[in-house]
Amino acid sequence: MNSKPTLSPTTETTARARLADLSSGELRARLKRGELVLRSGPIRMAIRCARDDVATALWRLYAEYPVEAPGGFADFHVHLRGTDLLRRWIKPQIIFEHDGHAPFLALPQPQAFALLEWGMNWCIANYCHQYLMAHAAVVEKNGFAAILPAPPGSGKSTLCAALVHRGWRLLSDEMTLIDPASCNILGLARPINLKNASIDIMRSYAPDAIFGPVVPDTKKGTVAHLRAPSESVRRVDETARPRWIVFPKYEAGSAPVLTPMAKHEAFLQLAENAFNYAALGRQGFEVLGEVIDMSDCLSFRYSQLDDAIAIFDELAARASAASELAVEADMA
Amino acid sequence: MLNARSAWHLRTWDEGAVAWNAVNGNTHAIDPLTAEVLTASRLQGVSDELLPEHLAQRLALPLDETLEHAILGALDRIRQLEAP
Repeated sequence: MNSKPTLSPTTETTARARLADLSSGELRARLKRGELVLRSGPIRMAIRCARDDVATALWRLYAEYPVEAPGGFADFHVHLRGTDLLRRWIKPQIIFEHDGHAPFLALPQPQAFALLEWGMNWCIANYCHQYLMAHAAVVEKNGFAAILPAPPGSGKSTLCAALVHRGWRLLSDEMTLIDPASCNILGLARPINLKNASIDIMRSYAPDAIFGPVVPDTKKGTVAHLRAPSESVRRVDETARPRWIVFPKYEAGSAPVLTPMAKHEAFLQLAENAFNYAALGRQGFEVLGEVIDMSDCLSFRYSQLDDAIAIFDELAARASAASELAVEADMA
Repeated sequence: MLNARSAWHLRTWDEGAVAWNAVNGNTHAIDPLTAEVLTASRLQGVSDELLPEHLAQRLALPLDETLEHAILGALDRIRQLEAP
């Protein structure tokens, strides 16, 4: 399992239409017919929805993503629709369907776009068993990937958002897809889901960043999605080699502290964060073991984003220097 | 035929190891000595009677009561992990 990072074999690199190439009318028409097939990395989603607010949010957050021609292949067909007639007038609700089945309860209409994002995550997590999938952010620099698994409230998404606005490439904020054959990580580069205080923190940390609708009173509190940087979307088909597994923890007032973790402990924690480790059986065990083998495993406590960025940049610089030395040694 | 005793897969590092049992699907973190016991007993088929002497030789340690007790304790832990 020594495959170098490559372009994902499941995707094509030829130029194709982006969502921003569609007129507003064409975008809405395709959405109404369920013919908007949006691609992020190896995943193609056919989206059906007649709501203008969802079309606007897609326009803001997915403008640079490729779209397939109407009728093109899609891995998933998802539908956001209103509930029954009475609910159209009293506290209207929205429901998410995948292939005609609704895996979640209906939510208030203002949460429509957030529900679409969560629903798309649900589809990937429940069906894409060709990959080992972990609930973890993953970012890359100089060809090396840092996997950031962490429970909610640990500051994972905030740290991920900060890193990708300071030179790191976003592969994913929410789920890490590992190719079992190569152990390389595939990119999704979907919008970053921020919650509560993180939204204002990122507004001030990256003033030029583009946000989708800010939705209060969800089960997760106030949520907003942050558009992925253009460079990350453009390079989404470049896989990355795992180099670090970092378990971040935001602690108010804490100085940045990076602590090595025993690999067997990191293995168990990453397995706990994997959606389909158990389902993959022996393959899950072997692939996770390979990823742990090739990665430095660390826990990371921080309170200031700039401190965190400096530490991650230093990790990347050291890895690059070590890699160059190894190449020179090979040539000698 | 696959049974809990023959179904172990192991990955070891300096500080410890993880072991996965294909019968019950469970993964466990184990200490280095337990990893040695599991390797010898379950992967290499060394009998329980020969296990202390085999491991003492392999680890280049004198076989005293303390080591034997630790080995048998590790073997007992492995049996517990093999429960369905």
